[in-house]
Amino acid sequence: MRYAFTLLLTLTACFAAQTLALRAVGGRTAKSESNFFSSIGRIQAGATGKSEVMLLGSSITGRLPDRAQGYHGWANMGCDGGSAVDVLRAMDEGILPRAPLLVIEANTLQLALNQKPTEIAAAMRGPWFKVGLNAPCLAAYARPAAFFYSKLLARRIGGFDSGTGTGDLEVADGPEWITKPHDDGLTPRQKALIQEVAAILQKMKAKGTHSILVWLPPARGDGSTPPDWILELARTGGSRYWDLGQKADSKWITLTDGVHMAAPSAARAVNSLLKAIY
Amino acid sequence: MLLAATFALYYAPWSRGRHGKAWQVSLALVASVIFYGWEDPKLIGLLAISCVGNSIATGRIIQHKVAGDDALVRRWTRRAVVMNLALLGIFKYLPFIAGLLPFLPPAWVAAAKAIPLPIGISFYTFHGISMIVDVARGEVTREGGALVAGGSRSGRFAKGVRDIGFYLLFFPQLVAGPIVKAKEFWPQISAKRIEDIPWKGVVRALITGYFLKIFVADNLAEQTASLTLGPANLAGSSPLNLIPLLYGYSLQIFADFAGYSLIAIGLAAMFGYRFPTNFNFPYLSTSITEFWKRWHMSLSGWLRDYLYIPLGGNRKGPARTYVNLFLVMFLGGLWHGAEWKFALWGSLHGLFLALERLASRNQDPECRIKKTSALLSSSSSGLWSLASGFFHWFITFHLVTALWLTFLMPDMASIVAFFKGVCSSKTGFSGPPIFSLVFYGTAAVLYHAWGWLKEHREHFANHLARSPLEPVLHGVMIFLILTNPGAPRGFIYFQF
Repeated sequence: MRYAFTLLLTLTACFAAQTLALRAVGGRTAKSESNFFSSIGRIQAGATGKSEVMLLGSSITGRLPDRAQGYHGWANMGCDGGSAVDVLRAMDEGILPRAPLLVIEANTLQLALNQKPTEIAAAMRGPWFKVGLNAPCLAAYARPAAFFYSKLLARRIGGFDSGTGTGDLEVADGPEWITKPHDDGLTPRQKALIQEVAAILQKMKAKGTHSILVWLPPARGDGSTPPDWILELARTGGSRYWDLGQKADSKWITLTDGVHMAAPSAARAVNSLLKAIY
Repeated sequence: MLLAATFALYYAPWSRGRHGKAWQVSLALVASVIFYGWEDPKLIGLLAISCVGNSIATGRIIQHKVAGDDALVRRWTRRAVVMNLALLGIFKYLPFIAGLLPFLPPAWVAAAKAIPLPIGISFYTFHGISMIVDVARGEVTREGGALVAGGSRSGRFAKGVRDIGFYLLFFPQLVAGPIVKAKEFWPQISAKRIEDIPWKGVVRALITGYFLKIFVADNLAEQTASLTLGPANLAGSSPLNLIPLLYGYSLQIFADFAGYSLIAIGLAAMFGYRFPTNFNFPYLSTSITEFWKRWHMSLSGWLRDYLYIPLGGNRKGPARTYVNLFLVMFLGGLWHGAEWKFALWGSLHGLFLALERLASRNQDPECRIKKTSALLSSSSSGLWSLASGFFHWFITFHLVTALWLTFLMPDMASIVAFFKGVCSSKTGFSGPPIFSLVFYGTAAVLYHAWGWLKEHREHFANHLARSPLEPVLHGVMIFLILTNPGAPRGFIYFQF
């Protein structure tokens, strides 16, 4: 009896501490040591509550701040090691809710060309994912390890607060419609992916969800134009395209590992998006 | 669902009647068959062959034993052992052997390699051999008697198949052990009552087992998977990435297998059966000899009783002892899988066991183990003893950990690439492996610290065990299992 009482008391104390910690970090942790759980956590957090803008993409997107860092109505659903396509498919199937505007990271869309089923896609269809949507304590963004890892990561990449509301990437133009076809020389896989994703985007548009394809920093190293198939996807999917990474002033872009933005740069990127959208 | 339904029916009111044992054994046998065949029902056929073959052989051995015909006992024992080894050979080693024979037509090799490896075959083969040998040695008598006692011949045979099937297939041990010897298991086959369940032990084993598997092993596995990405990746990594991953794998394989064993022990206890301890804080070992007395103890015990001792053990002089040690470990390595890497892993362990035996040839092995263990105990006096004990532990732990590379890596090129990476001057590192090692590995280290306390500070450990610390720890463990599980993965030893 004493054993059961002490055990239940300890469990209650643990869950209470976790709930308080979750509140203290704004509702979700930034990152876990596990790419898998970081991605699942972001998607679960993004799918909970009402969002005006959803950020879809890879770990590059994963670094962008959202409502947990004070950007109200913004939800970050970046999948580490993946692309926006898994989340788009899940939205299309009705597994995940949609916001009125989707910002789709273009940098890593090519990862979806390999047509391999991903762990994230499988997990979103599993029961444990749904449990996390309904019970925040059991969500991936509330993993105890993630609290510690986020704290350590914040030391390395800087705090998001330093960038919030202080400036943007100083890009003069904004997202544009692609009207000219770019369908020459596309591979069969590129054509197939364009067909699938464009159909999803068009369906969503008909239901009131618009999308923008954005090439986030870092810029393409060789200064090349964006891949034709991505422009073609934007055109056929009825999305605007924005080459933010290429056009951003490089003095504002700090990368922690050659690929991912430091927190102040990520905040500036979101400020640029805010400016372009509203 | 299956477990809950089986448990409820197992202890149903009618299980207390005259046919309680028959009901419980039959139910557990059916549940085990469903559990085993759930993914691939075809595998049940092979189990049935093993079960019926071993039953026939056991019945014959007992008959000839009762009649006092030792020659026929030996003949049937040989036949049954060969049958068990043949099943293992065909399904586990034929593809490997076919690949080694250059004169075989490629179509034959391809056909051999297409033979699927039935899950758990290594374990139920060893159970089968244990039963045959224990019956032949007269170490299983009461149950064997049932096969020749009164009643019709077909009725006796059916009961024999049922009990033997139950021993071979009992689901907690079916796919990855512990390897329970027939002489330990058969005497336990009887009607069980729910009030006899040792709940404290069950709860302790299940919580600790699931914690080690779900929190420690599965979370470490996400990082250590990068060790198998191929030579190019390994050679391009820095020591700061590779070394934490190797330590991580060492702790992961312990947590994975010890966790499974504890779960099996806990589940078996729920059904009234005691399984032997399979892991006794192996990373406290101060020699390879001691390591094998603490790691996968049921396999070590099986190899000792059914291979090392029949080979002559240490009774035929020092040279033969060294050869026997090496041979047993070589075969023990191959038992894990039909690949050269497992043979190499077993051989290196065998070599170190033989070298340790050689180095201590004038000492009794038990004395030597006690001596080295004592170096870390309270009775040790002086800094030198402590340093010496630490040195032995340090060498043993790192040797065992390094040898896991041969167990884990897909080929020799990957092992070489790993050491190239470790010896490189690259300084870059990624955070997750080190974070995981510290965050999850600490749990495995603390588990061993608890083992050290139990062995060397018994009074204090008992005091702690009686304090509210245990339910507090169990509460924290359940919390971490629920909120911080790793991505679900199969148990490492399921592949063997």
